Amino acid sequence: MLIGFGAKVASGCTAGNGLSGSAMGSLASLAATVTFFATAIAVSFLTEAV
Amino acid sequence: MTLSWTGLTSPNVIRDALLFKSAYLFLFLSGPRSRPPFVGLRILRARAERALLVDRPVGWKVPSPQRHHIVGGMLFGTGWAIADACPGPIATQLGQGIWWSVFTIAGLVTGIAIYLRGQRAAAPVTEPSAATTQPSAVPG
Repeated sequence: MLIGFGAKVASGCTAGNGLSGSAMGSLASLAATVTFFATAIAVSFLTEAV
Repeated sequence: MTLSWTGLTSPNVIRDALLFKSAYLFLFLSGPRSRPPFVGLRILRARAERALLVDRPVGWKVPSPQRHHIVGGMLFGTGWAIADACPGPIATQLGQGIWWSVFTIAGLVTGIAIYLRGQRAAAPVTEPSAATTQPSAVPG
């Protein structure tokens, strides 16, 4: 659910923001991409540690 | 097909990348997956090509970063790390016939539906009510 809801809030997912948006030089897409990568890495390490 | 061939439909590949056990995902996204759109979009714009479906010149407006990009990125990143899948691989998993992808796609669709419902509920009513549009019955 978080994937769908978050993608709508961020106006894109890994493809929309991470690939297409970044390729267009969109700072908004870059901000979203950096945020979701950093969050995903942090949550992965957290869930691995639990 | 690219996602299928490169193995990114496997949650283990995404999990290993997010835990820095493998650089495969990062190398794939920073090279073969991102350079073609970067180059292709600029060629289309430089040649003033027209979009096939809407018959308008290819171009784009770049929005400035706003709070919802960061908040949405955090929500999406959390979901991505829990499910070890994002919309592209989920659709590819379904296409490959991986049965458990129905659960991730159900979650994805539910999340979108919740967002859209919230948007509809928050949208201001644009239709004026009948009471406010009726002309006064009292003659001037």
